Amino acid sequence: MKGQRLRRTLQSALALLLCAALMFSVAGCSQEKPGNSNAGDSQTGESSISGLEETGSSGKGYYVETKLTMPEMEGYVWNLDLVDSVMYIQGGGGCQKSEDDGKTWTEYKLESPLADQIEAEGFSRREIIFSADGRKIIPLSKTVDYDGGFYSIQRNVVVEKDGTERELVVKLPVGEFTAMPGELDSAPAVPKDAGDYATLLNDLTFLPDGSLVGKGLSETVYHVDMETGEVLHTIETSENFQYTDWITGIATTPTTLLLISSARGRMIDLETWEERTDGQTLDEFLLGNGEIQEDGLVTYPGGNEPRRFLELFSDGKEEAFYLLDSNGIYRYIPGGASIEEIVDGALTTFSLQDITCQDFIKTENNGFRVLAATMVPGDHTSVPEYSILGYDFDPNAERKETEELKIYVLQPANDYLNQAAAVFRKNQGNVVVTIEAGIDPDAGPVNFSDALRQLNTNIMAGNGPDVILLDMMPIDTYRNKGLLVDLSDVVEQVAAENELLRNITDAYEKDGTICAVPTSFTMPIVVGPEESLNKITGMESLVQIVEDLRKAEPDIKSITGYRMTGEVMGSTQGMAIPTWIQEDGTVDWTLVEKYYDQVKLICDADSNTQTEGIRGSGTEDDPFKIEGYIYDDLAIGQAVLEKESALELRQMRTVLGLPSMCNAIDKGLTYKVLEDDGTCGFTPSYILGISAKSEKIDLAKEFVKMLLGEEMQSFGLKSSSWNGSSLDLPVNFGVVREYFAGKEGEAFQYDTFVGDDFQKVSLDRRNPTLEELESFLAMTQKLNAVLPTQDVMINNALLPQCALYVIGEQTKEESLKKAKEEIELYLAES
Amino acid sequence: MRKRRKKQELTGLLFVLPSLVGVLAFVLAPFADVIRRSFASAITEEWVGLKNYQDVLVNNAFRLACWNTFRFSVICLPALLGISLLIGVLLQEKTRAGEAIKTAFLFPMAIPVASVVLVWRTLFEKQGLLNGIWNGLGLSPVEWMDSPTAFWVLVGSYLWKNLGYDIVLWMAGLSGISSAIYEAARIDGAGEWTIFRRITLPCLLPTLFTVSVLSILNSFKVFREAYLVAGDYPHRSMYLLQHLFNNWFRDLSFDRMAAGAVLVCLVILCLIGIMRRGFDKE
Amino acid sequence: MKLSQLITMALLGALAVLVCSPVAFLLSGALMDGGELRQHLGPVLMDSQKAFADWSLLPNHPSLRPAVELLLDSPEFFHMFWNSVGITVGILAGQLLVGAPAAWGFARYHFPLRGPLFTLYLILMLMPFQVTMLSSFLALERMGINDTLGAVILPSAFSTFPVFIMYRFFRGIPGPIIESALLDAQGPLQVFWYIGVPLGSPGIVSAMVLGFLESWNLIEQPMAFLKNKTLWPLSLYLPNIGLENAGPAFAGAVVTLIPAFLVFLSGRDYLEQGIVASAVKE
Repeated sequence: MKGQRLRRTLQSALALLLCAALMFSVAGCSQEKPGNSNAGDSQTGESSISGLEETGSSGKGYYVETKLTMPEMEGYVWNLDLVDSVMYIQGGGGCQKSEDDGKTWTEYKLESPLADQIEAEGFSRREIIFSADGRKIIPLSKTVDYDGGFYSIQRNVVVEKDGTERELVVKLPVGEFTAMPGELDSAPAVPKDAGDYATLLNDLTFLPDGSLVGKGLSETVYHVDMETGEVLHTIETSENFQYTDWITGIATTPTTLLLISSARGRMIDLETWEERTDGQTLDEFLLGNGEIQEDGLVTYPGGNEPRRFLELFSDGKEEAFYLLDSNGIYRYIPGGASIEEIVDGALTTFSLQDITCQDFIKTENNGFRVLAATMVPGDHTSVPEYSILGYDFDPNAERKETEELKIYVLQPANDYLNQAAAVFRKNQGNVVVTIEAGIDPDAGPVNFSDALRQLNTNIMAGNGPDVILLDMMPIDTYRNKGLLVDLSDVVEQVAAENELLRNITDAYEKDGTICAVPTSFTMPIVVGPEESLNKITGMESLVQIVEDLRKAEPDIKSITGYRMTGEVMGSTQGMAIPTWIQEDGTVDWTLVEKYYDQVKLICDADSNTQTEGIRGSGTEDDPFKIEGYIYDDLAIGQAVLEKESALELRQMRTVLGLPSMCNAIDKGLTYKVLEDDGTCGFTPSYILGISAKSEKIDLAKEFVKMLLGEEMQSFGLKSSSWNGSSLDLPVNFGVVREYFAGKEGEAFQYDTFVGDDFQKVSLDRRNPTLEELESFLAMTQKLNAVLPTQDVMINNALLPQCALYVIGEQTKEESLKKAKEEIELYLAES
Repeated sequence: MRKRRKKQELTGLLFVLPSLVGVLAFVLAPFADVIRRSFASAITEEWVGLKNYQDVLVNNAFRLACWNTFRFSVICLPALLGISLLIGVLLQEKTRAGEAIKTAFLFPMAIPVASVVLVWRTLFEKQGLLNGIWNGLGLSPVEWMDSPTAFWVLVGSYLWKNLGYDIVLWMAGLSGISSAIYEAARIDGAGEWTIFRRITLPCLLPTLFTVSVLSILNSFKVFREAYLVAGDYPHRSMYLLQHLFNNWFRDLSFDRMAAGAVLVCLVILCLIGIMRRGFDKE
Repeated sequence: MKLSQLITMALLGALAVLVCSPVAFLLSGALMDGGELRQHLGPVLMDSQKAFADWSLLPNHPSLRPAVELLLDSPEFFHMFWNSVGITVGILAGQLLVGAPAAWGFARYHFPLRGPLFTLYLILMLMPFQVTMLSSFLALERMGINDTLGAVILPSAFSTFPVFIMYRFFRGIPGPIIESALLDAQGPLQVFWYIGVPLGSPGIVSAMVLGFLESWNLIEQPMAFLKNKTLWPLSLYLPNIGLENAGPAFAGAVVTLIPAFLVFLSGRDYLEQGIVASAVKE
C-alpha cells in the first residue's frame, strides 16, 4: 500500500518535472538569437525589374568580369562616380575622367577661383561631389588648434551647371565642431573664433530634390538646404551610441534615404522624414550571423565576419539600392522582402582574400564598375594597387556546371587556405571549393581522435573530401591502407617548370610513389658567432657549447634564446627523433633517454639560476626572460646582437627573416642548420594528399599543382608583417629568388615596435646576395628526414613527458615510462 | 491438430515479425557487413581470406586488450555476483533500514555517465580528492589513473554501479523461495550453510542466468567512463577491447576491427551456450 | 534484534552511504557558485598545481546561480534536453511497440528456428557498439536518415535487450490462465493484449525503466551518427568540463540525474514484483 502511494508520488513528481522543464524551455527558447540568416545566402525571390538580369539557374547568362584600364594615379584612390555617362575617379592625386567607359582617361581639373581663394587661407580641397543635375560641390577643410585641442572647419564651394560659383555656408549645431561620435550634446564649448562655418560634413549626398545630406563628426546626419545652408532635418544617433551607429554609407532613392552601418540599415522616408520600420530584411542581411551584444557591439561566431567590405550605391532615379560586399553585388528595394543577388561573388576577383573594394557604380546598361584595391595582407602603410573591374551581363555566356572540390583540414581554414580556394575557384571558373574543418571550436567538444573518426566514416560512406590536409595525421597509416593517391606525377609536372625542393616534396616517397606532398616546411637553425657554431656538430656538442657559454657569460639572460622546453625541443628534435623509430616500428628507448637528458642539460644550463619552477612562463612571478626579438620570425639574430641571448635556437619559418640574418652576418654572426651526424630532420606543413575514394582526382591534382605553383607559394611572402598563420618556408624555391630579384644585397631599414610600451625602433636589414641565397638553398638541401612527430599522436606521446621531466615535475623514469606506455600501445595497434 | 499447430507457429512468427524486420535492418545487416569486412581489406574492400584474422591474433595490442577484458570479466563478474548475493541474503529481513539501504545501493545506476566522469576526475586525478585524503594521512599521492591501480578503479566503478541492481534481482529471486522449504529443512536439522548450498543456490539458478547476462552486458559499458576520463590511450591495465576497436577505427583499420569483433562474438557465443546449458533449464 | 544483525546493518549502512556519496557530491556541487567550485576543484581542473582538491558537503555560499544560468540562460541546454527527451521517448515507444510482441511471441509460441533466433538476439544484444559502428553508419547513410534523430532512435528501438527482459516475465505467466483465455475463443492478439500485457506488466515496465536509463545515457551513438550539433542530446553536453563550466556542469549533471532517478524509483517496485512472479513460477 505504502509502495503504491510512493510510486504515485514519484510519478506525479516526474510529471511535474516535465512540466517545469517545458516552461523553462519555452522561456529559454524565447531568448534564442533572432534571424540567423547567413549574409552569403542570397534570396533570389523576386522577379527582375526591366533590364536587370538574375544569375539564374537556367545555366545561361551571367555577369562576365572584365578589367578596365586603371589610370595612373598617385596615392590613394577613393571614389568612382558616374555623371551623364562620364566616369570620374578621384583620389589623393587628383581626379580623372573617362568618357568611353574606362578605356581612356584624361585628367580632370575643376577650375574654381573661389576654391583657390579659400585654399590660400589654409584650406585643402577634398573630393568633388557630383550631382546628377550637373552641379558640383568642392568641400575644403582645415584643422584649427585651440586650447582645448583642435577642431575642424569646412567650407563648401558650389559650382553650378553654368560655371558660376558661390559658397554654401552650412550652420550646424554648436557642438559639431568638437563632438565625438554620439556625444553631440556633451561636446566641449565651441571656440569663439569658429565663425559660422560648418564642421566636417562627410559623405555629402545630393537628394533627388537637389538638397544635400551629410554626416557630422558625431555621426549625426543633417539635411541641408542647398540655397540657404539651413539645416532642415536632423537624424540623430541612438541614445547610447552603439557600434551599429557608425554610418558607413549614405545613398538615396526618389523616396528613401538610406544610412547603413555594419549591422543595420536605417531608412528615412523623404517625405515625412520619419524613420521607416520595414527594413528588417536589410538589417538581417547586414547582420549576417552576427549577434548584437548588450553594449551594442556586434560579435560573430568564431570571429568570422561575413564580409570584408561593404559599399552602397544608388543613382537616385531608381527605386533600389545596390550593395557590394565580398560575396557579391546585391539589390535591395526599400521595404522589400528579399535581397537579390545580381552578381555572384564567387566568380569575381573581388571575392579574393587580398582584394578590398573602395567604391562602385552602376552603369545605364545595368553593368557595374568596381574600384578595387589589392591589399598586402597585414600591411597598412603602403599604397595598394588599384584596378577597375567591370561587370556586364552576357546572355549567351554559358555557366558551366558547378563542381565541388572538398578540402579537409583539421583546424578551421586560415587566410592562406581561403585564398587558395578563391583563386582556384576563379581560375577554374565553375568549381566551388568547400573547406571542411574537422575541429570547430564553436561547435562543441570535438577532439583530434573524434575528428579523425568522423572523417573516416565520411570517407567510407562516400562523402569524404577530395583533398586532405594531412598535417598532424598518421600519414604512414593512411598510406598503408591505400587511402592516398600517388602524387608523383603532379610533383614531376610542377618540378619541370619550377625549382622545387625535391628533398621536401618527395619526403613521403616510398616504393616509387609519393602519397603526400608537403608544400612548406620549417628548418631548425642555430644563430650565433662563428666560433661557437663551428663547434656545434650535433646534440652532444650543442649541450657542451650551451654549458660552456653559460659558464663564460653567467649574466646574460639566455643562452639559446628560449624560455620554454617545448621550443628547445622544437629546434633540436630534428637531430634526434628521426633515429628513434626503427623500420620495424619499435622505439629505441636508449636514444629517447639520451635525448631527454640532453634537453634537460640544455635547459638547466640555459636558465638563470635565480628563477625556479617553469622558467619564464610569463606569469607575474615568473616573467618571460626575453622579450621581443626571439619571437619575431623576421628578427633572426637580433636577440644575439642585442646581447639578450648568446645563441638563437630557432625554427626558421619564413624567408622574410633572411634580411635580418644577413644584417647579423654583417655584424659578425652566422647561422647554420642543425644536424647530428647526418640526421637532419624537419617539420613539414601544409601536407597535401588526395583521397583514393575521391571521384574528382584529376581536379584535385590541379588543386595540388596550384598550391605548388608560384602564386600560392609566394602567399606568405607578400606580407611584411607575417603572422604565422600562413605558409611556412615554401618548397618552390623559385618564389624565394623572385622575391629578392633585383634587390639582392640591398640594405634597408625595418621599423617595428618592441616591448610592453610599444617603442618604435628602426633596425638595419639587408637582403641576401645571390651567394647567400645559394648557401641558404644548400642548407635546405641538407634536410633529409621528415619528423615522425608530424603525427600528433606520436608527438603527444613522446614530447610532453620530456617537458615534464625537464621542469622537474616528474622523474626521468616516470617520464620514460609514461611515454613508453602511450606510444607502445599506439604502435602496437598498427 | 497439425493445422492448429501450424496456426500457432504462424501467430508466433507474426508477433515476432516487426521486431525481426527491424533487427535485420538495423542490427543484423550491419553485423553481417562486419563479418564481410573481416575477410576484406580496409579501404579497397578486396577479398583477403583469413589474413585479417592472422593479423589480429598476432597483434600485441589485441592480446593486451583481450587479456585485460578477460581479466576484468573474470574478476568482476564473480565479485559482483558474490557480493550482491551476500548483501541480498543479509538484507532479506524486511526491515525499514534494509529497504533504505537497498534503495541507496540503487542510486548509482541512475547517475548519467558524464557525471560519473566528473566524480572520477575529482577523486582520482593526481591532484584529486583521494590523493588529498592520502596526503592528509601522511601517505604519498598515488597515481590512480596512471598506474595498474587504474584497473582496480575500473573494477570499483563497475561494482559500485551495478551492485544495487543485482542485489534487487537476487532478493527478488530469494523471496520466491517458499519459506516452507526452509522450515522443512531446518526441522530436519540442516545447518545454515547446508541450507544455503542445497536449497537456496539451486533455486536461484534461473535468476543467476539473468543476472549474469545483464552483468556481462554492463561490463561492456564500463568502457564509456574509461574513455571519457582517460581518452584513447589509458593506462595499460585499463586498455580494453573497445579501446582497441575505437582506435583501429580511427586509424582506418576496419579490416582488423571486423576480424577482432567476429572473434569476440564467437567467444561470447560459446559463453552463452555454456551458461544456457548450465543455468537456464528451459 | 541480535547484535550480529545490528552490526551487519551498520556495516551495510556505512557502505550504502559510501555508495551514495557521489550523488551527494553532485548535489552539493550544483549548489555552489563558480568561485567556490574553482577553489575546491582548481587543482584538478587546472594542471600542475601543488595543492589538492578538496570538498565540503555543505556549500559555504550556497547559490542557485549556476543552476539558474543553466536553466534560463542557455538555450542550447534546453535544446539538448528536448533532444534527449525526443530520443528517449522515441526509443521507448519503439521498444514497446515492437519488442513486447516479439517477447510474447518467443515466450508463448513455438515456431521453427525459435531457439536459434533467440540465441541470435542474445548475441546481438551483447555486441559492443564500436564493432558495428562503421557498418551501422553506412547502413543508416544508405537509408538516408543519418544526421537526424532517427539515426539514433531506430537502431535502439529495435534493440534486442528489452525483448530479453520481457521474455522472462512473459514466460512467468501461468499456462492455465492462457489456456482458459484461449478456450474463451479469444484471438491471439486479444490474449496478448488483455492477459499477457497486464500480467507481464512488471516485465514491460522493467524493460522500459532499463531502456530509459540506457537511452538517457547514450553517448556513442549520438557522437557517431549526429554530426549536427543542434541534435545532440544531454548526455553529450557534460563531458567537457573546464573551469569556466564547472558550475553548469554540476547543475547539468543534477538536472540530467533527476528524471533518471524518478523513473527508476517509480519503476523499481514493478521490477521486484516481476522477478518474484517469474521465480514463483519455477
